[in-house]
Amino acid sequence: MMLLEGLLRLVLVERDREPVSGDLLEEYRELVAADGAATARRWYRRQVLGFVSRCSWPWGLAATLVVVGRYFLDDFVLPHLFDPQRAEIMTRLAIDIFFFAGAVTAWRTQRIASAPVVALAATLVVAIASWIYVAIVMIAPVPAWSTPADLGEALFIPILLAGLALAASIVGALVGRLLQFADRRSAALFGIAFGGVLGVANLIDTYRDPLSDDNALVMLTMLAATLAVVSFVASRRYVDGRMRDAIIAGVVIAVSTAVMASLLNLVRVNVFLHDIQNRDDWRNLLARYRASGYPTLRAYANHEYVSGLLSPTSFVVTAVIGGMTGAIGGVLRKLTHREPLQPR
Amino acid sequence: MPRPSVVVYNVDNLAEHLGTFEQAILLALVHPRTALGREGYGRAILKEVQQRLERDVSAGAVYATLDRLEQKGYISSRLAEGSAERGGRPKRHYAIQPKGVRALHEARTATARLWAGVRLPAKGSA
Repeated sequence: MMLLEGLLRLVLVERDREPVSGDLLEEYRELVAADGAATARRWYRRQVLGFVSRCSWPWGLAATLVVVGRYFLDDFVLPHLFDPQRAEIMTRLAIDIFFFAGAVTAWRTQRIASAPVVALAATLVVAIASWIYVAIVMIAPVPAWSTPADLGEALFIPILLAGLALAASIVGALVGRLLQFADRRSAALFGIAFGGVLGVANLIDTYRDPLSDDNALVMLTMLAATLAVVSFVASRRYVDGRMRDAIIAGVVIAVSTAVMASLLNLVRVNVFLHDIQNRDDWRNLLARYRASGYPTLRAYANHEYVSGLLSPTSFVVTAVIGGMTGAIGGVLRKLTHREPLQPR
Repeated sequence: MPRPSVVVYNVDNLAEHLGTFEQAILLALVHPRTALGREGYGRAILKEVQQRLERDVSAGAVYATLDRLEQKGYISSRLAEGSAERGGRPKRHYAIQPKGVRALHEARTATARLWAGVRLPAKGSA
């Protein structure tokens, strides 16, 4: 009972934690008196698992689409073309899904420990779907499954995924909790924390592969995700129908995020200068350096990056984009919440 | 040539119509059938909805719907002190708002309009 109640309290949002757990406890006690402890325990367990599954199934579904989708592509659509990259793409997507599951769950519940619970429940969804897929293919065999290694991989991936899900969701939960903590204090602090997260991710990425060029698709995805986050957080400032608050919040978050991310980018350039100067996308900067008369590449690179950081044009552009993003968030909030919102 | 008649669909109204589960929850608040139901807190609503729908209902579904209805402004809630049988934890009492009553009226009117003039064959005689 205590374990189940602990689980319930982990997945409930702060606002519901006390009243909902109290409701279930009250009903449980009445059921014990009316139908016996075993029936009451079964009812309570069912309710708690219902709450856990409500938090987990969207993430489980997303991870299932990645894992089972990959099996399907391997078996029926692109057996040779897709093969060399499949493991990496699947692993990266799965890490992203569990990272976001952890971040969103920790944000909602304000508990880091809720993230691994949701991630494990989502992994269970993947495991069941994966094994159903294997069972179907074994009944109607395809040539790919004639290799025992493939079958073994499909059977054991969900088990391996559990470790990955735990690690990614805990990291995501730490990030989600940090951002939620900052959001509660001020828009500027949220921007600094969010810019810090983006900057650290950039540092880790460069550490892993210093010579890889910036991929246009990845950059666009990151920009879209950043704008979505700015819009979401700004929309939470849209209180009592004051659109101005959402726009100001959008501007503050965008500018503080950009400043923090740029500062960490400066750190990245200095730490990895020896390696990243060999990247293809640094050719133009190197040409400008040679023509500049600066004594060292480091001095010139710092001059360029700091100039970019302090440029009034980039401030204005960032502020305008932030303001527009905040306005979009405010409009969406107005459309989805029909009544005036209560101040947070 | 006669002009074709124009049929106007009010998409906003169609999108606003309540589902059966939402109606059951709002009705539990408007017209509770039991003494417990009149208390209007989460567990009381759960029991009322189970009685109205004549099936087992998960608590998670009820709380998720209550949350959605509150966000739409159909109901409001307030916290009150809890009793010993619930470990002293507070109760969240819900009350229907004028907008919720309007939504219920609209849902009933829409259903009545849908069924107007329809006579089905007796059960099992199709």
